[in-house]
Amino acid sequence: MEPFGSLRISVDAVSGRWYDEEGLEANIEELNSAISDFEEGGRDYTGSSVDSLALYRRLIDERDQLLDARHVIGSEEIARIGMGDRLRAGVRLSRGNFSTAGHGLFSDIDMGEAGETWDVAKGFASLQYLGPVRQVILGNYRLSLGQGLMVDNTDELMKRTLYRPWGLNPDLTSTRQFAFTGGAAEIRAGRFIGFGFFSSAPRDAILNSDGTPAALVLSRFRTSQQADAVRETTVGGYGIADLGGILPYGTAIGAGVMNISWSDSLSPNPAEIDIPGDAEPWLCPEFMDMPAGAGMRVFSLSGQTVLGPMSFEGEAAFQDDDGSAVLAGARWQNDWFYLLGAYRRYSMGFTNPYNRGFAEQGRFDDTIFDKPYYLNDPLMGQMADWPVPKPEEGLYVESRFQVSRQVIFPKVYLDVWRSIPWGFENYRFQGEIEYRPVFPVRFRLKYKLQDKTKMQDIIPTNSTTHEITLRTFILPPGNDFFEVSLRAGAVELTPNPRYSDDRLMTGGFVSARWEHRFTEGFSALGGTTLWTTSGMSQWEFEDTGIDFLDGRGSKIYLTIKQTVSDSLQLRLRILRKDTYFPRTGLYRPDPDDQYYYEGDGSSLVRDFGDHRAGYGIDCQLDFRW
Amino acid sequence: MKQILSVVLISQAAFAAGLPGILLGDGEWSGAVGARAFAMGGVELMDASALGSLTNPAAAASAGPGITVQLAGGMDVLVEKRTRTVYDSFESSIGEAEHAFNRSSPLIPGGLALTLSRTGGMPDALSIALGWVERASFGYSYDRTIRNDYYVTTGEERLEIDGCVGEACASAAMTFSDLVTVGLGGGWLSGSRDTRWTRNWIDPSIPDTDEASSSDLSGMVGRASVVVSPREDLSVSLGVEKAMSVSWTGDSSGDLELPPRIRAGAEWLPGNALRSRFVAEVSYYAASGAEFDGSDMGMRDCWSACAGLENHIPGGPACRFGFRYDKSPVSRALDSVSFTGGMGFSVAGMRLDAGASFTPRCWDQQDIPLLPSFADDDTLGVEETVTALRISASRAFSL
Repeated sequence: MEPFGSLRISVDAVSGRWYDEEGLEANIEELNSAISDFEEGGRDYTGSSVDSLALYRRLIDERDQLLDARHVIGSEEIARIGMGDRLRAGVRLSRGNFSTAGHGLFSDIDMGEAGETWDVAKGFASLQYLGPVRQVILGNYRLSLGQGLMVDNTDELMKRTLYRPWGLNPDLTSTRQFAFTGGAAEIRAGRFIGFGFFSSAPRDAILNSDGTPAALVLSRFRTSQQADAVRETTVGGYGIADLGGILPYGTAIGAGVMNISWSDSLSPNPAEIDIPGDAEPWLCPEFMDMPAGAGMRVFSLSGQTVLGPMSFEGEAAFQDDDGSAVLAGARWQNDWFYLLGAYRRYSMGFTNPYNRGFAEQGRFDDTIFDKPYYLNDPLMGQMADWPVPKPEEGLYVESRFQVSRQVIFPKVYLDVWRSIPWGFENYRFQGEIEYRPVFPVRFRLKYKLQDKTKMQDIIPTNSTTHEITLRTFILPPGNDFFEVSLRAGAVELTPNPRYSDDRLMTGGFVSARWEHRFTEGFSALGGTTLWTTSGMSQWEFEDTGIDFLDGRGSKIYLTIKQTVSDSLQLRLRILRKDTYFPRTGLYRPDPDDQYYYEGDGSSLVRDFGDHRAGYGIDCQLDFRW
Repeated sequence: MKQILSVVLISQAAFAAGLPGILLGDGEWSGAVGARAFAMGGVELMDASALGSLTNPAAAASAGPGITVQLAGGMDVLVEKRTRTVYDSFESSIGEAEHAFNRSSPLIPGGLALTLSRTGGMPDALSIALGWVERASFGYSYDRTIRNDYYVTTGEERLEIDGCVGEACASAAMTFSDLVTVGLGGGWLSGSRDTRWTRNWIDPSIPDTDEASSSDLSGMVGRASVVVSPREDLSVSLGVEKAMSVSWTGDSSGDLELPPRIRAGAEWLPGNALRSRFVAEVSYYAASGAEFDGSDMGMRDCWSACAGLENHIPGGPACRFGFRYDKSPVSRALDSVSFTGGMGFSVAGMRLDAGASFTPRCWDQQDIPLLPSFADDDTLGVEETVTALRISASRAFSL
């Protein structure tokens, strides 16, 4: 048996000034602001459970760790090997741009230079097709079963999707916080499919001021305080019975249980999160029901069947503390049309961290965690990225419809949901139509409408979003591909004098890209985007990911891709992004409320232009043998 | 060698109130000397050319019979913006205001080399390379008009740095079989640096600043390398170089003790329709062991990695591109990545190559120890880009 394998080396370097609302610089500034607030006596923890001195020291230490992360260049190395059709193994070492690594590569192990170069290590070894044992995996693995209500251990919550990788697979992805590390097996015997799994892995958590873990967190900036704060042990099993033949083919039912335990009891306490007596009251029932104690147990029942052109599937999950979740979907399909419907309901108490069910919002979307300046420790704002659905109940309908060869509705959907914490009704509609007058030319027009209500101190506020996008694709005969996109968006808000009484935020961009293939294995892709926004930042898909656009600006990029041979592929990319923020009208009559230059508190700044130039240089090499 | 120069310059900075142009402009890696290798990620060990033979002695064996002459030079386009952070009364940053903007384009002398192989009664197995190579050159200027709140000029500030370090070197390669070639080389290192920093104030009660320094560098460098070709389409190379008896004289003087630098690289010809040539190289330099006058210089161990590709577009010129990562011996803030590219032509029996690299960096002045202050409390942020352009020409003469 000849061994085979692959090695991927990629460097994702950014330089210059990059800024986004949740980025490193923003978090450093939030920490600076919180420290300053402390030092100027802006906080009063009298009568609070918060150890203010410990919190102050923590803020300073976290700020220093983030400062140290400013120039970290991201890299990733992935190696896989295999032999025959039974043995597979792989290793992944990585470190993200601007990531802290105060905790080292492995907890409590000094790895020297390696601990500075990488901060996440993953690996696996697997054996497959051993009689009824379909596969056994030791190391890191991903397990996704049913509708993802009981277990789908990924760091990402895919919004509005019923489809996910199903089953047991080795895991060398970027998933870190929810990675399972241990062993798992899949058994197939007759009509029975069984999964058993065990994991013991460190988990990040936000801490109370006395050092006890408050809640698990998907931390983007892993300070030594948050990183690996608790060890989680997960064990479970799932069984599926294939009833095809007895009942219609495609029919199956399943049931499973998963037990999660933490080495240190979680103690979510709002007093440790919210700054006492500040301008923003504590309005976050989503946090009140977060897991407390040393563990939880989750049970699941699932089923599916196919009846002619229709399929039905669903899952119900229950926690041992009465939390519950239900998701049911149906799909009818023929050659030119499909109709998909889904119903979901997640109770307030369903806090299973591995729930990745169909959802419109994350658990802490539109909560106080979106505003880190109202938190004792601004880094607790990372709770906003917790990839678990918000407690919500909703009905979703989606369709694709081919009217003719020239006219297609690629995707049209309507989601109507109720946010359970406050009982607000929301909806989101998106429709897209494609017109293809001749084969190489396509026009796609997309419209999005969303209406959401958010709880505030006295009365709730409402936002209505409109977004329209026109995309044109041209594939002339030969080796070229052109795309031009135009987007305009607006958000209608409930005005507030604290934010200049703004009623409307707007934003839009125009982008173009061109890919030319010189030979079968050698191509170059170039693109540019121009944008302007007034409060409504925009997002755009690039060739390798998503980019957020703020202020007004432009960017240009070039990507070179070459398949040098069957055993080597190379990809290089360079990008420049310019963003402009005119800062005018900074005059303040109050001498104690002035803008000033760092290090020169007596200086007065009345206006200036902030021009941010950022560069991205990426390289990816893929070897195969 | 660039790394050696980097440390040399850093020591100068440390002991003679050195200035950032030296330390950060070109004091670190400035690329392979030949434009062909420069365009392919700046590989130095895997630069199969006459100039490359001065860095990788074993590469001299790749020269054809007769004499090959190569000449190279270029220009660095430096753009630098310095900014000051603006804060509100809550100590929150609201942006960066421009403080100074500088641009300069110093010429880079490059180098001149020739190789001799299988000519004039030389043994077939022996190849020789001779030449002069610019190992680092630097030209940096900073100027600013200082004004008060009423736009009235209150002073002028100016900084000028220039200098060059070159090496007269020789290499010899001995080919023992189709499999192994061994090379030895060495050179005499010499250079100088001049700096002047002035601040002139309109107000005569404020003392002006006028600081100037001039220093000369000299020393020797030894190199050894081996090239192994296990297959026709693959060769692997390993090299080491060590600077010896290096010292500064002049306004700052002292001996430098510098650790060796190790390089390894590979070249692969995959045999595709584009007649591609893939090269990759890594190097390691234990800079933490560097000493100036017996004192630890406080450097970090550093390494670099680069890779590049050359394609021959049917009916067109050679097309090259590459990538490079350099870990700085000074600070993580100065770690950098570079994107490189270039083209090559054959004209009237001569090979003409052009290459370019682009390197952006962004750091805070406070990140780098020992830098002079251009603003109160050293709060300036620095955004800089270096666009380096190189051209080289070579021609082979059979005797």
